[in-house]
Amino acid sequence: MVMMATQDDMDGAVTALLDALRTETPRPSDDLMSRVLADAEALQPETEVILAGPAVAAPAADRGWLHLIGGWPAASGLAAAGVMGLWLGYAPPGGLDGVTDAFVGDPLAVSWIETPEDWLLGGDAL
Amino acid sequence: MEDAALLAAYAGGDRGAAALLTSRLLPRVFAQAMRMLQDRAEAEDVAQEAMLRLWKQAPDWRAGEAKVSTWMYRVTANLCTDRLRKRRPTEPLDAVAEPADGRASVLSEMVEAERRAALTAALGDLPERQAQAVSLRHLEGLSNPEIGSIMDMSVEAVESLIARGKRGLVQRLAGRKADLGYGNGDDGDTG
Repeated sequence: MVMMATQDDMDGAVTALLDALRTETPRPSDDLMSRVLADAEALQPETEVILAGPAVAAPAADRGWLHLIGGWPAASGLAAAGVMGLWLGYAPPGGLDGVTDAFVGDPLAVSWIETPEDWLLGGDAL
Repeated sequence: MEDAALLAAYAGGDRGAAALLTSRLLPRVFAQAMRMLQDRAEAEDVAQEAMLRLWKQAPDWRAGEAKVSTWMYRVTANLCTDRLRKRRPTEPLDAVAEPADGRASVLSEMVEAERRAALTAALGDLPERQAQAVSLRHLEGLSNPEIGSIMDMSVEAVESLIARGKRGLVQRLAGRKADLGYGNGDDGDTG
């Protein structure tokens, strides 16, 4: 009976310790907050896109496709090829000369326009 | 705005969504990690890693399948139990130097610190699911149905895990009863 009482005493002691820990609400440091935000920024899906140069200025209705093309890094050949196919379908007359410009043009920040996921390269995010 | 909507906004490029989500989620995640690990540096690492996984998951997050908070509890608990299992055993109390002046308050602080360390070590010794269930119930104060959602199991399974985990903790700590200052007129009150 003494040992059982001892076990009950330990159970009570462990419960008391757990209860005490539960009441604690330590706050994250500012440094941790900064690091988390830096991670968020680094991992946030790309929103800055590359606009084509004046030679491929498109009507407003087509601007979404040009923004998408401008957003791909020039080195991403596969993405560029896939995108180019759609671009060609929507390019204004004489726009073929602007295809290269679309990849080497000056970057400008614009609002992201939603694009179907099956356009994009990439595997699982996690 | 709900967490899932904020996460979608973040995935859509909204710069402000990350700051809002961080201010909302990080304190909870960090506190959970601290309560389980009792080590600030490790808790910060776990919290940062948990949030990192959330940012990575954002583009694939499916609204309506799970709550963001449920997912965060799960990820944080998993990261914490991984950390606990990798820790080396804690030193016995008699290996810790006593304070030179022997002040009772300082000694009691040492005993309290030792108890906390012993508890986290005992948690680390438990099977992972038991450790998580006990932590979510007794350290986070969640209900059994909530824990069931987080751990993807029935309430009955949660109850069983908690009961076994608690018994496991008591058994492991009972062996260090004297070291931890229990059973010598000290009933474990920390107040």
